[in-house]
Amino acid sequence: MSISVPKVPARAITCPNCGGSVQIRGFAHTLNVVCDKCRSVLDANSDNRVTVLQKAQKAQRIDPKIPMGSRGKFEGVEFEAIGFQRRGIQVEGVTYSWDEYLLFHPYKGFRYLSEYNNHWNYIRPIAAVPKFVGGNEPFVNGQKYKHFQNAVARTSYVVGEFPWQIRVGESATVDDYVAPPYLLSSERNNEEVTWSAGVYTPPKEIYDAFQMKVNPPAPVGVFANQPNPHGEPGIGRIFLMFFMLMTFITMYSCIAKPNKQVFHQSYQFNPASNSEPSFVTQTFELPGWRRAATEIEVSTDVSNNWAAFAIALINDQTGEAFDFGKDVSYYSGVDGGESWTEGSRGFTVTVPEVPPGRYYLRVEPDRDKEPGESDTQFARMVNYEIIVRHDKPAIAIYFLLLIPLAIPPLWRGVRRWGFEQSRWAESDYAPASGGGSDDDE
Amino acid sequence: MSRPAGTCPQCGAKIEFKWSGALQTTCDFCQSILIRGDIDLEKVGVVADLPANASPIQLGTEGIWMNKAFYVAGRIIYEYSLGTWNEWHLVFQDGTSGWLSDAQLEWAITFPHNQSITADQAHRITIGSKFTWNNVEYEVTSRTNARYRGVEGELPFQYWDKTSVGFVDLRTQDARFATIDFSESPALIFLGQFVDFEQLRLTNLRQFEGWF
Repeated sequence: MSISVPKVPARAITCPNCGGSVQIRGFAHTLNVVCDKCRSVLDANSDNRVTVLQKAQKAQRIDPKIPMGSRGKFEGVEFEAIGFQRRGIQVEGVTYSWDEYLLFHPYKGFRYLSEYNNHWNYIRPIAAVPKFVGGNEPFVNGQKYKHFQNAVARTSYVVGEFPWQIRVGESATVDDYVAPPYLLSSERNNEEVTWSAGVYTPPKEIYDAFQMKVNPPAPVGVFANQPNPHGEPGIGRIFLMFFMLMTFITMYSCIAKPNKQVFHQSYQFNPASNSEPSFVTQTFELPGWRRAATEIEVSTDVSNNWAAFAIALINDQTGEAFDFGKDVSYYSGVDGGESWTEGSRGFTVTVPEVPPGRYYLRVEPDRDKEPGESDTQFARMVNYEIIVRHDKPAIAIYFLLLIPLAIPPLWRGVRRWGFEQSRWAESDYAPASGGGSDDDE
Repeated sequence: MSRPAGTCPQCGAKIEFKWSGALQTTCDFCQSILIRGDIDLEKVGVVADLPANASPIQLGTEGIWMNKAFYVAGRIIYEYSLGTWNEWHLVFQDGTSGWLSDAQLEWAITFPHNQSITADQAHRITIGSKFTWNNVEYEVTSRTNARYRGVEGELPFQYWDKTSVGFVDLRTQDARFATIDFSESPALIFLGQFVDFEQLRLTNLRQFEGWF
């Protein structure tokens, strides 16, 4: 019992089937090894007398993308690829195959890589038992997974070596659960259930880890735990919340906080007067630093009467003018015992995008004498007042701005949804397979 | 600390127990399995050639667990249908002993628990059965029948003649580990947890050709 023993030696055995030399990379962990030349499965542990467990595999020779014996760094530790198996499941008569690599480190133990249509996962065994909180949704370390698929995986081809008994044709019941980019898998038989945890890994990272000089082929389709490239569901939700918050703030400021009143004056207008009806108001300030909507409200006391107003909002410094014209008319009466009204005594005009500065109004009230109208009727005085309010939030503009802003998240949402449809189309829960789920829980 | 010592009845070599609690040891020279009749040693068998083993642990490996230093004093090798695994006997600096289980480089440390299960409970065990010890719920994840394949070094009991043993392994949601060992009646229970290799801060490890 010496402490400084020599290194545990690597060894090789001779294949009894073809006479080829078979290198053992997993030391005494290796129970079964596949002769690289004739692809027979050999018992690696039958001291001195090697037995053939399964004669040369008949299937067309498969050479793993990652050659046996190459080393790749994962989580900062170099592991050696020592085993490979192709496994497949049958779904409605179609076989779907994927490849599994066994990685080895003499102290850290075993890891796995899986590859399906160039979608890769780096997988490690987990010691904890997942927690099921009702239904088929396990938790591991607080992460919730959704059940994806239950299937019987059958081994169709093996290369390299394994620390367990392996034969072509053997099968195990596997369940996959996903929480992209994570994958939780269980394999069970009557005596044992084992759990492993995978993380979706871009092909480039796998090839780089093994310093493979070729470019990896692009993945095909959507894989069970492939992260959705169209963003997290959270981003759309955050945008929606932001949108609603902005809308709420706008609404609130419209209703509860009136626009700032910058001008208020009362006038009288005598339609019958011969004097020039148009006049200019005193100047007022439209404060602020940016263009903003300006609201001009005219209210009158017309009753069974009408008047027309031509108004211009004029910048005192630049002469820039915003003109508009509006009529007011208001009639009321009693007809057959029912009182009625028609028209309105006032109006409000919003001039959008008015630059801040010093302004005045040019106001021209007008009313023509109507046919058959008496002079007294025509000479009725019109009292009116003008109020100017500034900085009204331009609701229309706000929405116009938000709509293009909303397009990218909506578009991304649609794409995201499409991606999720593709993902789940491959699962037991595909809508098309209509109850084809072979859930045996 | 006094170290019990005796002479190998087979070859006359001096046998010194590193751990005073050991009831069994193996002679380094003639591979006899010796049990203590304090301190006359009785040969009860011979260690069959140990199977080739690729554990990085060896007798004399030292480590630290829960701030307590330990050394590896002995081991039992079990063989089951799918291979072998090691139970390394750990002796801690305070004289207590525990086990480091090494199954295909999956590591777990366990300590004997003072409770057992009833024969009725044992009879009903299936994958998924649950047991609660020390307020922790354990779930059965495997059942194994293992053959005793060999021993090495110092052990806290006499283990030489037990040839076939039933084992039930249990796990928890937080990576704890338990074993029910049916080598005795009532069954022995060991409680512990899975550990990462680095956590044990091991020294005096074996080295591997082509690696380090």
